[in-house]
Amino acid sequence: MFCNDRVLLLCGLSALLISCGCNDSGTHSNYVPPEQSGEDPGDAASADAAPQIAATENVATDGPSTEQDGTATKGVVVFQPGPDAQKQVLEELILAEPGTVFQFEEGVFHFTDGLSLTVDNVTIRGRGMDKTVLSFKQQEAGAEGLYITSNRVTVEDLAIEDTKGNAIKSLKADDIVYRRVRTEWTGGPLATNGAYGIYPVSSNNVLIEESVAIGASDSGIYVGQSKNVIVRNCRAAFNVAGIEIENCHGADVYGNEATNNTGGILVFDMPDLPQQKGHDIRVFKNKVFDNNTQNFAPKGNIVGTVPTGTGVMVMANSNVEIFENDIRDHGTTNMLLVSYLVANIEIKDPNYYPYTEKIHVHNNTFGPCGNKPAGAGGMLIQAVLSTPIPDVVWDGVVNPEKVVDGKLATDAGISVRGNSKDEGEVTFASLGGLASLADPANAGPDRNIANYAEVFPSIEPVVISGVE
Amino acid sequence: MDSILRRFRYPAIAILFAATFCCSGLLFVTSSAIQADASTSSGAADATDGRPVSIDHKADPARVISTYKLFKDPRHQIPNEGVVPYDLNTPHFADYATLHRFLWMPKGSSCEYRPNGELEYPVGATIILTVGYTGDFRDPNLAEHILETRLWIRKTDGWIGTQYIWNDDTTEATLSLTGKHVDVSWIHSDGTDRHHTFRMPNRNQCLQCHEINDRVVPLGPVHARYLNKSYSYSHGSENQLEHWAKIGYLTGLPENKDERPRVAVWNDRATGDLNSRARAYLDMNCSSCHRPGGIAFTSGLDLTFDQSEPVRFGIFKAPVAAGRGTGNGRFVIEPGHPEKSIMMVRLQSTDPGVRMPVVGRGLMHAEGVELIREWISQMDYADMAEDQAKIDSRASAGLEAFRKMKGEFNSEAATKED
Repeated sequence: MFCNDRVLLLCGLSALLISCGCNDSGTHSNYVPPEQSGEDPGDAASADAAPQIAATENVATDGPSTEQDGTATKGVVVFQPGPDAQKQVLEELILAEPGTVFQFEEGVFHFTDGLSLTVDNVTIRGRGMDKTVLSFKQQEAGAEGLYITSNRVTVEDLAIEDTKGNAIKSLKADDIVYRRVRTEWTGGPLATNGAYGIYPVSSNNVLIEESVAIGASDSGIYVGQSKNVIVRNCRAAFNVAGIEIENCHGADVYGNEATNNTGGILVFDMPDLPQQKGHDIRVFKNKVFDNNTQNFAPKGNIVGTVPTGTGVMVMANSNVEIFENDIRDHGTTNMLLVSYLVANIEIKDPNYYPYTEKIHVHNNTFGPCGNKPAGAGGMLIQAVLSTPIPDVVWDGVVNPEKVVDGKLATDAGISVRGNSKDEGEVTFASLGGLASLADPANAGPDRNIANYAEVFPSIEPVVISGVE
Repeated sequence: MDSILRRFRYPAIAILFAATFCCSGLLFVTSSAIQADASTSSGAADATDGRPVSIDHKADPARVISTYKLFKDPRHQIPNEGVVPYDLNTPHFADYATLHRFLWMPKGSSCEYRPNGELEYPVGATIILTVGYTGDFRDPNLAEHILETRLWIRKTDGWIGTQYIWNDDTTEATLSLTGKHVDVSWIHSDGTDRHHTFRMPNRNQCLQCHEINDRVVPLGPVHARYLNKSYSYSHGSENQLEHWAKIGYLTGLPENKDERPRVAVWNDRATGDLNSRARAYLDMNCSSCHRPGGIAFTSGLDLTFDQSEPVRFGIFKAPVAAGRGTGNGRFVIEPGHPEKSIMMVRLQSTDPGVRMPVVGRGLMHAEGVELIREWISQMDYADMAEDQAKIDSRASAGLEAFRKMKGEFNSEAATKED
């Protein structure tokens, strides 16, 4: 009558799965993301996995506590895959002491319940993102695979696969680090996949680095309503949005590769939320190419409006600097800058600022784009501009209060200067505002890039204490 | 019990837990929680001997529930002296479990009445909730399978929540941090056989609902309006607030009954209109998370009873991070269209990635779903609907114009990604 029998049964099942699980982990069933085949991080890193871990600063032993950076390290709890793993992991995470390192050993761990952590200063560590897999294919409860609500937590060197909802969510979790974490839905890009891969929200000082996010039906890496954010050297593929920075104040997104998503890198702001008016975002030195996966977001989500084949997209943010990126091979456009007004949802929030202002696009390299616009957004843009759609498209919607004597205040506009293109000139168009979208036949787009050569001051880098 | 004790292998864990939780002013059951006094844990004899309740709010939580002497007869949830049963006008849905609620206060202390806002309970006050399943919903007198009892003890610096899981004989319940899954069966009110795995939440799951503004709080008897109802006590029927006042548990209750607010009973049309009943239901089931300071505050959706701004409680509110939880709906609530409203998708689903609430519900609450369906069906926010329709028509006008300009326009591709 009690569920122990049932758990045992499931665990028995898990044991069977685990025996063949190691073979499973690398192959992702019948779906193999093309970009992954040649550069599977696990292949290269496997031999060095242990020494790498030993070299990291937070390592601890079962011996007495050691003092490091003023933070006591309390010991290592080791998890081996197997029939008892779920119960053990759930309990240990609940009972965690601050300072504990949870070491997940190599193999596939199967969970039917979501994991959660509420204790500060904890490290959750695997043996490599393709060696240690936390699989939630059989998940029965929990809106996330791993849910973190405490501060100073590090998650590193492991993978979370096939969760029913989000893969990892951290809420009000300051000073969180995601390092060499892979989140993936192994069946490929499907609307039935969970929304977000790596999902920190409402947090200060967020670092996500060298991580991989594949198959999210919303965003692979999504940082929401946070302050002081760094997303660097990550790879996002086959998500609707590769990397999305939403309602954030201060974010550096650099050195990432976003490919085969619907949209590569998004910087958005949404109404009716506790933290709004996203600003001071830098997107630089990223490789953003071939994001042409048909939009598979469930309808109703804002990313469902992202036109398939978009490289970088900014919506309703202020002071965004996009520079030294390599952006190419997008069916709709390499870069789309829009106000929230194009989302076609009435704004009821008096505190919301729907305009995209002071967007500084400079020194990027563009490749081909704009020959195969898609989605309603792509169609509307095509209606105004025809194909090929330019490298940079701005909706031209401005805050009327910032127009004086027919002239837009300089810091309320956009700047596109010093960019280059493989062949020919960088192309640009302003759609000329919402009127153009409602009546494309009589639209008045402005294609003269020279009208948008304002120089905005550079944005200060994000600084997170202790992060180089 | 062994499995619980086995967990506390770190000698320092108690101190660390205390440090973790006390600093933010919150307390929840922790390993420090284990009362060292084993002499009181002798089980059934103590639990049923009828001696007065013994709750020392300064002590760590007891290892076994019998220490507190709350029940004369736990199997039938007969409370000891001073442990007062109560009920709520609209309770939360807990997978069709029966919820037994009690309140105890130390001698001489009382709760001060407030017409609005949260009641302030005195130090030592203890709120008790027992979860059980009756075998046949058509016959409430039949034996009940008692699963767990949750206690909220008001300590000097805030509430502490604890969970006790009963043994098979309902003679003793043991402190738990990790919850438990139990298979339960019953005959439903419609005569059908039902089976379910009830998930007693673990400590972290408890916190998902019970942590608000970084403080741990109880959720049941928080507002007087939920308590303002009659209850069938063993001595007869009486208004709960009046009974509490009579026995000294409540001070400041206004003489005039009309001055005491009362929330509607979600499934009793005589107690309030559709809107009142629906809002009470959402308040009790959703608002511990969906409020400023709750864990779902990042969604911007506020389902507290007093929220009066339509978009804040979902009317034409776009989702933020709903993922496939939208079920293809554009808005949390689209007035007049429950079939297009995300709220309905969330309430009807049992999929862990879609369902709401995320903790505490594994079954669909058919009757609650019908209430919300009716509420949304009959809603009329004509002005907001008109504004949204204008925006929609502007968008479709552009596509329509484009369709006319270009014969080759692929409308199917466009709508698919609209």
